Amino acid sequence: MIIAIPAHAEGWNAEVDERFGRARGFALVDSESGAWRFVDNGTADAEHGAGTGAVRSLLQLGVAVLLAGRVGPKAAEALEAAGITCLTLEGQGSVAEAWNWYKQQRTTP
Amino acid sequence: MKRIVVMSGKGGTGKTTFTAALAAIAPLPIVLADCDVDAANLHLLLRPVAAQQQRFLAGALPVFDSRSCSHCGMCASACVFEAITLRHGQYAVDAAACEGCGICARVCPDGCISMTQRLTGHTIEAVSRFGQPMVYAQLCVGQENSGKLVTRVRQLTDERARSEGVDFVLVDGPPGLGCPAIAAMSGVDALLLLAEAGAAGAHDLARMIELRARFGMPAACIVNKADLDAVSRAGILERCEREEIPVLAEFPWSPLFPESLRQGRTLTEMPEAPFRASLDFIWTSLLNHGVTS
Repeated sequence: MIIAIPAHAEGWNAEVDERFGRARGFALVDSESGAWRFVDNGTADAEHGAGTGAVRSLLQLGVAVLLAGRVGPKAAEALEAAGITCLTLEGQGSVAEAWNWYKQQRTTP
Repeated sequence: MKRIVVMSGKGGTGKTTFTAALAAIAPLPIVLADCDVDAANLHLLLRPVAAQQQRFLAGALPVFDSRSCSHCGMCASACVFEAITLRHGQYAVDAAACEGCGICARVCPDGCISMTQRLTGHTIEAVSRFGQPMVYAQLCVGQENSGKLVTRVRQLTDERARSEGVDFVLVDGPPGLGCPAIAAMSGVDALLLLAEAGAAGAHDLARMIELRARFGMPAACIVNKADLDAVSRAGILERCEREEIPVLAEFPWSPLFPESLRQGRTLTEMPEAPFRASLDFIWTSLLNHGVTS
């Protein structure tokens, strides 16, 4: 299962991007293998429709879960339609912190 | 860095008037941004100097390579905006009529049309007459604001704040709830909502509050023209209380507002500095009462 985290830059310690559609890129983590990579967000510079465009990219990348700070109304609708679970981050500063928070969420019922 | 954006939903509630007034009495170094690019006018009150312009390219415009054109006319007939015409024996586009859809490039059998970005406006970095760095933009005629342009203005503002070591950014937001509004709100620390006591003001504030609930950042409210309509005012106050949005101040309608704009001054620069205590209280609240936390 692939987990996506909006980030300002590449790297495990990169800052989480509070924006979703206009995030610089996404850290993608494979929850089984722990492998991760960074992809640029092609819609960061879109004139309009950045949020829905980003959802399309995540769908194509096979993302199942998004850990994000703020998601606008149209992006939220698109995420739901795409079957991507969106969990709201609360002040996790780095990609690593967000990932650890997610692992905790999974293990604690 | 703290970022506060002034939003309203409805246009004309006083976003720019209050952004300028708050800038004039800012108790700490700030960087200003005008993200209401469709009607950028913060600079009219803050009369910035040392302006530096950058071209802003966006959208799409067809460019014709006439050497390979067979003059079939398919581009002109496919264009529903009638933006392509034959001029002096060559097909050419009327940039003002073109919506940038790209159908001409798609139907051209000769492959002689390519879509390129067009100059839609300029971003401007300057210094307000109160000595604060400010970033704004001006659009070319016929162009519209976009999430992309708002994002660019905010990016320049953040860079400027970082390079000058300033910790506080005050953004004059765009009206509405669409793409530019969302681009202005996303990732900010708090919203300063400007409500207008009227049916449209109350209605649009309610929609803005719903949008804000999705983003979850703290918000505070100012009620402007509070004595215009008692029913709308009561509705605004009730809604804010329900949403736990503190109402920091109420301002009556006053001829001082249009008069200050006419003179190109901020409110606090008018004789006897009207509403100064309320404006100071707004700053105190923004800095101390958790609105920025």
